[in-house]
Amino acid sequence: MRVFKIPLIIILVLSAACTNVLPRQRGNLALPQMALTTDTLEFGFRQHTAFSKEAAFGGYGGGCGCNCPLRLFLKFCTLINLLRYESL
Amino acid sequence: MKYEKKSATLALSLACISMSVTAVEVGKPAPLFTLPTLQQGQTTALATFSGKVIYLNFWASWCVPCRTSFPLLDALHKKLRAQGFEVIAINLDEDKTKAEQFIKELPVDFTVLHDSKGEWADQYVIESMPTSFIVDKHGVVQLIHHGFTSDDIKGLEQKVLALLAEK
Repeated sequence: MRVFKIPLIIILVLSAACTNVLPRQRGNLALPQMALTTDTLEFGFRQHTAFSKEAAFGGYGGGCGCNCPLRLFLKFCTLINLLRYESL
Repeated sequence: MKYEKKSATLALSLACISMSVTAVEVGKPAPLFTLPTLQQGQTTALATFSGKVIYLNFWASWCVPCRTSFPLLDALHKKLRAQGFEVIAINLDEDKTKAEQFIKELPVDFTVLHDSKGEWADQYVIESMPTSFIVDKHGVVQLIHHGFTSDDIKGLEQKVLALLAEK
């Protein structure tokens, strides 16, 4: 029984630091530097290519991930986005 | 017997927790707050707006849909103000200067209040940003609106007009 008690106490002590963040407290989490990806469009484009080239299967959309019109379009959008951010 | 005692204690503590968070629901009276205005700091009470249809909006400067909502709400307020419609926007920013900057960028004619500690947001139970409550002439919540997209304004206008037509 003691074997279980010690890890349980450790977990309880450590979990005291966990807290619920209320929707009104998400100001810092909403900052652009807190995003998991710096550019969602760029991320989508890279993920599309990765999924296509690495023979992945599952619930991902079609397309070759190479120089298809979709990729070129996304590349163009990314470029525009980059220019926009740089000009700010 | 021991097990019964334990489960009774657990049930009681759970009941206490659930009692402490009573969300504002449709058909229930809106809690009557008194808060300072964002810019001048004058205290404003919800009770002073009784007899009017109110769109009570909880917002923050970092919230993207809030940015969409402000010009649309301001236009609706200007359109229906004469008929007894009011918009009260309660800011929940921890840093007040960010909210003031937001208002400079998107100036509005309606009342903007500041709830620095978020105590009224907790009383109303804000589940998303923004969350809004349409309160009728009798101070009863008639609609809870989560989030905001530009298409929402048409439905909101219809709801407000229906409530304005009521006695």
